[in-house]
Amino acid sequence: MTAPHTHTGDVIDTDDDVVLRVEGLTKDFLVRRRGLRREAQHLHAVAGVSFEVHAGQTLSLVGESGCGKSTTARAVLRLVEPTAGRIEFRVHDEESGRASMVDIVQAGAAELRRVRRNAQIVFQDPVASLNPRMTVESIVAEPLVAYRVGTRKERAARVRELLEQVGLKASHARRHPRSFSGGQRQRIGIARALALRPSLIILDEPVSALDVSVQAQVLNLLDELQQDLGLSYLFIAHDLAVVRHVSTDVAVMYLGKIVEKAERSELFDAPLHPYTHSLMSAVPIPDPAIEGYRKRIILESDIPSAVNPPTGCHFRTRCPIAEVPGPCSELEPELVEHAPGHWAACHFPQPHGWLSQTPVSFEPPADEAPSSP
Amino acid sequence: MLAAKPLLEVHDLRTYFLTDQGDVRAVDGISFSMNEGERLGVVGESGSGKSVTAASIMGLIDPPGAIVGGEIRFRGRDLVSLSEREMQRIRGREIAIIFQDPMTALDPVFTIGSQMTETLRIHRNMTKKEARTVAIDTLRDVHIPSPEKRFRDYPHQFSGGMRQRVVIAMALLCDPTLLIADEPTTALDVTSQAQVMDLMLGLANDRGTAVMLITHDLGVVAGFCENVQVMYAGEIIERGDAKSLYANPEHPYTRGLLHSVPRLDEESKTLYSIRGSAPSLTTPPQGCRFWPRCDRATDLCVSERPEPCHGEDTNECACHFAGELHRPHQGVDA
Ligand SMILES: Nc1ncnc2c1ncn2[C@@H]1O[C@H](COP(=O)(O)OP(=O)(O)O)[C@@H](O)[C@H]1O
Ligand SMILES: Nc1ncnc2c1ncn2[C@@H]1O[C@H](COP(=O)(O)OP(=O)(O)O)[C@@H](O)[C@H]1O
Ligand code: SF4
Ligand SMILES: [Mg+2]
Ligand SMILES: [Mg+2]
Repeated sequence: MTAPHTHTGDVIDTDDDVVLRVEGLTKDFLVRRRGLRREAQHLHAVAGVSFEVHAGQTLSLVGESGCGKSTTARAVLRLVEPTAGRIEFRVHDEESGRASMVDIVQAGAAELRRVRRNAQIVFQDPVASLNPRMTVESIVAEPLVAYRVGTRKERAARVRELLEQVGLKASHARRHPRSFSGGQRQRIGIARALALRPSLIILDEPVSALDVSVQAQVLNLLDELQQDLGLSYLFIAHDLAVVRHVSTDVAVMYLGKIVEKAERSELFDAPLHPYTHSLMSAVPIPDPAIEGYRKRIILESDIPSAVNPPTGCHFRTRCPIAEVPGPCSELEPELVEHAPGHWAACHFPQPHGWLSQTPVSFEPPADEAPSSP
Repeated sequence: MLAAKPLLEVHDLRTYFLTDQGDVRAVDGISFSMNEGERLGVVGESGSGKSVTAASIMGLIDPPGAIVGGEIRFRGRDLVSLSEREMQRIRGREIAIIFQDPMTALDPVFTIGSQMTETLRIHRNMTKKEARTVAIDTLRDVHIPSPEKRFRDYPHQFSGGMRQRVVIAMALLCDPTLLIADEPTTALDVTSQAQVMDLMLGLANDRGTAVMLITHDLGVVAGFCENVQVMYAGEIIERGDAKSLYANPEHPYTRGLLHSVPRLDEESKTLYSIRGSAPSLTTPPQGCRFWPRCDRATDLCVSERPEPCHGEDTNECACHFAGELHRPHQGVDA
């Protein structure tokens, strides 16, 4: 899978199209327990996550709130320090014209600065955390100032160009973002992220707060920008329908781990993991005729705590087909490649069509009876 | 044949907020009705007037807001003219409402058990013991595991999805005829949303409770409602039975909305997107409120307001070209 590498210290020459490679990423937070004995506990927000983002493509991380998507996004840029793992990011050397992979975890300050110039992050409401007195112009120009790009005049011209690129007007530059609608604020955030001509943009729930008509505008914009600029996206969302629309590859997360990962059509047409099935069955489809015959998998219990995740498979407390006591409570399933590029971490993967007329069957197939671990 | 008398009839309702910048015409002349046991969806994007419609029915509009015109009849009685005391008797007992944030209905300092028994003792004159039995049964109805134990828990001890189920249990204690659910699952994850919607559907079927489901999510409505009305800028621009409204939307806004949602069962390429954004409700466009964003707009749309939905037929559309746009299973021309 991985192209041959030549080591040169922290920097590795590369000739494949991987822009970001994350291996075994782990992030624990120390949290204090309520109550009398306030000893510190580890919250396993991200527990050994691996994935690759390819040039010009979109990898989506999807899962319910608290599964570790945002922590993964932040850890990738070391906005939170990873507890363990390896994060390689492709940088292009302008002089030699060579591409090489930089290990973000080991990178020193200068290297990290170079990485962050090429990898930007956009949040759900990118304007919310900024000083309300800033004008649109100063918001979009800020990364240019931070990296000392251009003269004042050149920066002003670049801001104008960026605003037009994201569908705003150059005349918006002098206004304050407070007066803008949600969709326009997201456009401002995207313009700012584009300022330094990055190769990768991490989008953390970029359309989750928007109304559908505006969501469609922003999704179309992101698609156009990807086509025009060859951008790679790490797209984070909880909405599977949006994920299906935007992705090249999809990774489904549950309690800090990737439980299933595949190319987009493969994942949506032939999901394997019971959690993926459950998530998909829970997403409503705006068509009463289809909703009329769809069967839903109702998960009655709640997501367990990331401080004390269940033994064995993390999903087993909610899984409709878990064998407990048995393999599901005793042995943690590894991510296994079931079809080319299609990985799932489950002792009883379910290779049944889920949108077909017949309801999804959750019986473990008779001929594939589980072998005891 | 004698048609059943509607449970709720709203006629030309206008609820405005009188502000320094002018009157915000949040709900501007809407008419519709609901029958006993009906499940009606009210969909629209944020700011279209869905919550103000609900608050108007519940008598919960406070200054600077006011119902400036129209009627709301519940079982024939005009709610707009009732005193606050009379309205209080209807709220909770005959019409219950649940909101997006379950904590608006729960008091963080009391156990859910004491909150539930309190309601039953006040509204249904039960003894403490009777109330306890009914409360625990209702918690069981909403699938709270070990309800006897959870009865003694405080709201913060429940997860978001469970808390919303507790709120549904509280709303059901007095067996209301009409339940208004205003974005009940918007703050929840999809798996919790599926639990809550499954539960509401079961309860509505078992108890015959009419439900007005307010949401921005066209998917949630599709799985729950028999009838749907679409709001835009304070007006109902289209209403119909769910199947035909989704299959053959007549209003360009409804069509646009349906085509701008990414679907789980489709690998769409470019989404249709409605240009621009919703208009000001203080100075809404003359003529059709949607014309500045509409691909079909003509001079007529700019100058003349289309005939509004009167709430008399199941399927109605407030567009000058209603009925002429039919092209089933096709996108809006971009
Ligand atoms: N700074 C923090 N301190 C302690 N716990 C945190 C912190 N940030 C996130 N968490 C916890 O880590 C887990 C993953 O959170 P997050 O990455 O935000 O999930 P997602 O983005 O998928 O909703 C959650 O249990 C969350 O409560
Ligand atoms: N207290 C208020 N003061 C002024 N305007 C209000 C008030 N409450 C609601 N509105 C306005 O009424 C309109 C409709 O609001 P609402 O019914 O809450 O929309 P929806 O529920 O469809 O998102 C919005 O434009 C909103 O700004
Ligand atoms: S390993 Fe067991 S518990 Fe986990 S998802 Fe598969 S069947 Fe369910
Ligand atoms: Mg997040
Ligand atoms: Mg609302």
